[in-house]
Amino acid sequence: MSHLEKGPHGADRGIVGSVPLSIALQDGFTGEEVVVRVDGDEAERTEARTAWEISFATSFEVEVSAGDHVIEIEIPHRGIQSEHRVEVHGPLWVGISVQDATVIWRDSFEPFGYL
Amino acid sequence: MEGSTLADEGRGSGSSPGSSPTEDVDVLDTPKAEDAAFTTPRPTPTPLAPLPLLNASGLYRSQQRLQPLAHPVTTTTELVDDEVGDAGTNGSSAAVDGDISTSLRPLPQPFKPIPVRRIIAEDLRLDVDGLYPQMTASGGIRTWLAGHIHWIANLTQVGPSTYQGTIFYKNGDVNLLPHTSVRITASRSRFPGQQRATAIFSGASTTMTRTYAYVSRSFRPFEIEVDCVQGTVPARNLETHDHPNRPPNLPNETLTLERVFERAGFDVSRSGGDSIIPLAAAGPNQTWSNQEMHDAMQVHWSRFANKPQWSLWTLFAGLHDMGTNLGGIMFDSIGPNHRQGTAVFIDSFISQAPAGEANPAAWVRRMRFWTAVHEMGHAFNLAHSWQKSMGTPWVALANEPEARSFMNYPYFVAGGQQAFFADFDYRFSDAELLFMRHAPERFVQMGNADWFDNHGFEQAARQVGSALTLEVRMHRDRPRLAFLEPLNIELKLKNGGEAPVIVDAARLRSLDSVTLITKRERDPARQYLPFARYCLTPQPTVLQPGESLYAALEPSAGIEGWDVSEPGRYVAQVALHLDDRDLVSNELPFRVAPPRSYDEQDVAQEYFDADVGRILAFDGSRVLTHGNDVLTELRERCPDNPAAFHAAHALAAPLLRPSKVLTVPDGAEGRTLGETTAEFQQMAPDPTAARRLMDEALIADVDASADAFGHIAYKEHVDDYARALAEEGDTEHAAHVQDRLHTCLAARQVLPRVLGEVSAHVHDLEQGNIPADWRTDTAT
Repeated sequence: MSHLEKGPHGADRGIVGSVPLSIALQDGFTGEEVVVRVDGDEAERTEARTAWEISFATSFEVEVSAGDHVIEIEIPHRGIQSEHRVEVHGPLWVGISVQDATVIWRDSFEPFGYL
Repeated sequence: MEGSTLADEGRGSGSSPGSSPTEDVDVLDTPKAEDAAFTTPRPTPTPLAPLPLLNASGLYRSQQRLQPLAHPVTTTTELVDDEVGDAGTNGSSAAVDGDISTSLRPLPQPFKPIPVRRIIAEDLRLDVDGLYPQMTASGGIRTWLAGHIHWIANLTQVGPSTYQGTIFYKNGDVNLLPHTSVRITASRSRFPGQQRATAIFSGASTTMTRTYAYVSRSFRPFEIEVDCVQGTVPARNLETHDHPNRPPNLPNETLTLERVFERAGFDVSRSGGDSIIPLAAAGPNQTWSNQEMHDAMQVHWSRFANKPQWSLWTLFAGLHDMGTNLGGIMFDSIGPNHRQGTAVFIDSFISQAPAGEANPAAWVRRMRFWTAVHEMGHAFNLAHSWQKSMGTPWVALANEPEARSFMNYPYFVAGGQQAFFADFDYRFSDAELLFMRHAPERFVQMGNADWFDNHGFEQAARQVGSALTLEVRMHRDRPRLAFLEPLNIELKLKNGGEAPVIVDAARLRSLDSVTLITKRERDPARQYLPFARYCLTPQPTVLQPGESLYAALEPSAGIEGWDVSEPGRYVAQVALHLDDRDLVSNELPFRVAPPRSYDEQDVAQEYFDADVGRILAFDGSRVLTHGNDVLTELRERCPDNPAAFHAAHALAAPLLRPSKVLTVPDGAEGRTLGETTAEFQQMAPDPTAARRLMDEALIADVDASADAFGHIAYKEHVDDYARALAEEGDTEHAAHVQDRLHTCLAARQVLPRVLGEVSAHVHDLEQGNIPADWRTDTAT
């Protein structure tokens, strides 16, 4: 399940050559080990736990070149694995949530706002 | 409050499903009014102005005064002869030497938990009209000390002011409300004191009818305190037409934080506010961590208390440590009481209007106000709209990702925030209102724990402000019982005030005045129902400031079986009924250890039996031979178990003195004593066996015995033993017994008055005299 989504303000950003890709683990993380890979390389391995009141667990940033990239998330303990293709031409924020066994991807051209 | 009522809002009025305008104008739905309408001719040529709608919705309450629990009647009984020992019952020194009682004994039968049935308060929340009616009723039944239930029913309107439906949710002791349906009739009135609601619960073997008095139009209270960090301005209100992107029919008004929650069904008040929090409280980085906000809450919130209360603190600050991405947070997940504080960060993204926004200032004002309500919603335990099915919802909930609710993210819905605010009525969703208005209080109330153990004492009506305090305790290092060991507890009634208080000392020893509840973890609470009760002469006693009265109880077994038997964690609590109040004690947690041996497990098969319970409660029996055999076996097979002290004592006590046994011939069932040849038979004492067993129970290891019996019961037992010895003429051994008692109690630092009494006994006995206070029975 994937959909491109505007951030809280819906503004677009300019395109640069080497761009930051920010990945946020949002809803549905309960403390298990989570592995995130970008183009097959491990970008983050963490035990994520969602603060339900702000729907946010943790976030990290990687630098990627402009172009297509594949983000993969694996939660070994829950047998969950999902991947998501993004087209990066400028700063991009990707939110990942897990609902039951379904991974929900959200892409945004703006930082996510949490409340 | 701003002076308007839900009925004044002009929205939601008359919108109850199934209602009609005609029906809603039926404002005086009392039988008397109806009768008059049908019997009295009415000249009505002049059109009357329509009466304003009177709502039936609101909080109703029914209060019942505490009534002493009647001694239960056992339906299956047999006539038996019990010869009781002479050392008193349950640690109270109320029995008379040589006393004989004949009683109706319940036949052996499986022991069942008995829910305590004293209803102290019932409430009803009727939600059928007014703003955003949920066509729901909910209520609670709170029993004194031992359990409560919360119920919720879906309603359909079936008459002008009558609603009925199915009870779809119960939380708590379902035995308190086995019914499955409810029919509610409201009698509306312009005078709140005359408004009533009558609920008929059905669907069980019997129906139950309750009449409630109207309390308020709101379902629950809610108190807000809003403070702000220096340099920030709180968003307390919003002009609803400030921003042009809005529903076309949205009323033009000044919406306040209070009004939002009033419309959600709360009686909103302010507990203070407008305090300015110094920015220094945020630390050198001037942004706020959750801990810093929690610290500020403790200092600046006038209502701070780590306890459940319908009260919330909201802070307007600059930025959280997370930076501009966090617009607000319910930050209080620190310590045992959560959801007491929220914060709004006005320098975050909520103050950065989107590029191209035509009304950036109005956008920011709206977003700040919206965020404040959103965070306050979290304090009510509301999840985000798309999270409803996550975690452990209170009932099965569907996600509401498109909901136009304070709990959704405006930019998460299809069409983004433009679409959201174009259709947003500044309200919570129906599912959220159902939760806020009708879910069990502990799920919603700020500061209430998520996973509160549903034990039987949380609703106890405690006496507040009384000079008298009641303490329940055990005399041992750790509150832990060995498997098979009877529970012995002590009561301490203390005058903690500054003036003398007159109390009836007999009440502490009268089991009619004492209610004791024990509860094993995950089991229902059980009320101790003793085998016997005593009518004692009142003993008015002046309790000086700091003075205390003491009594002992051995409540393991009663007429409903063994309340304390299986291994596990327990809690005990006692209430003492005085003339004008009930004193409720502390909760005494204790643990029953698992069996340590095969012998203990094997003996337990016969031990937790009614006969054994009666023998222990009455300090022995000459007729319950099977129970005596079990106790003998316990002594022999489990000599290291503290229960062996109790067994030895119970076996010894009837042998100390001559006693009588009522013998009834076979075939006497159903006949009165006068119709039979029943007669008393004199039973000779057995001083040798009694001495051997008493020494084993009380003297061989005085510390272990004092632990097993507790100080009060231990002294009573030793006194009784020494007294019997002295009556036999063996004052030398009696003096030794008393001396051992003195040594034990002195090492345990009991009151000097008690030690002085024992010393005097030792002195008298060493002189070959029976102490004066033993020469006549002073029990009353």
